Amino acid sequence: DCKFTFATTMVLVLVLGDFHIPHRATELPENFKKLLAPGKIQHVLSTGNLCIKETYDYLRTLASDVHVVRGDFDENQSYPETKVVSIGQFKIGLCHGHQIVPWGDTEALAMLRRQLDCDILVSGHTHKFRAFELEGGFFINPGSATGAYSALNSEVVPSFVLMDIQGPTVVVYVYDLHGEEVKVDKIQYTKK
Amino acid sequence: LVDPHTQTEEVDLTINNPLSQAEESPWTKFHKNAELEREIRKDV
Repeated sequence: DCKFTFATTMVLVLVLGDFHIPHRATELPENFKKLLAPGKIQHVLSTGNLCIKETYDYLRTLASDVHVVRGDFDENQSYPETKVVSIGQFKIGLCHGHQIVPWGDTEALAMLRRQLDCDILVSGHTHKFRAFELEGGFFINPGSATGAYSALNSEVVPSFVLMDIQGPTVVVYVYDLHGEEVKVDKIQYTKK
Repeated sequence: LVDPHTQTEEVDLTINNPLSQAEESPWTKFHKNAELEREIRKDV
């Protein structure tokens, strides 16, 4: 008889994008790769701009469930413009963000969240981490995983996000790279 | 059984986060147990 039972079902969701490999970055920073050991993460959500297939293949080594939306520099035309993924109690909307005008605008993001009818809207494009709660919904921009420059931002801090979903609550861990040091921050959102 | 959600004594986020590989992280213990459980399931 098996004595090993788990009281918790862990749901870890990696959120990252705007790699711009190979045009603006050669690869994911080594200190991020070290953290992203296979077998820990259940789902990957990417805001796009991978830009090549090798980046997608890498994401597939981290988890079998990988969702990608199309960035303005993605070679793969089959990625959708937007996608809604249900994980646990959360509906999570995904959009690269170059379509959201003005770029990164709070009101425009709020409108897209209502259109997609999701609890959490994940978008990218600005290459700047941001997370906030508005009108009962939650918004996450994981920034650029490689620290690639953008039209808006030349001093980019490489960053990604990991969501730990526990029932109606999501704990968002934010990883950013300062020189060789990975700093970790934590934000919590509970569904109303 | 290790539930990292209830292990609150470690407040340093560079150690207490799901991707930490530090020995003292509750998450390291959790992932090791989860891996062990997967192995056992395979063998049963």
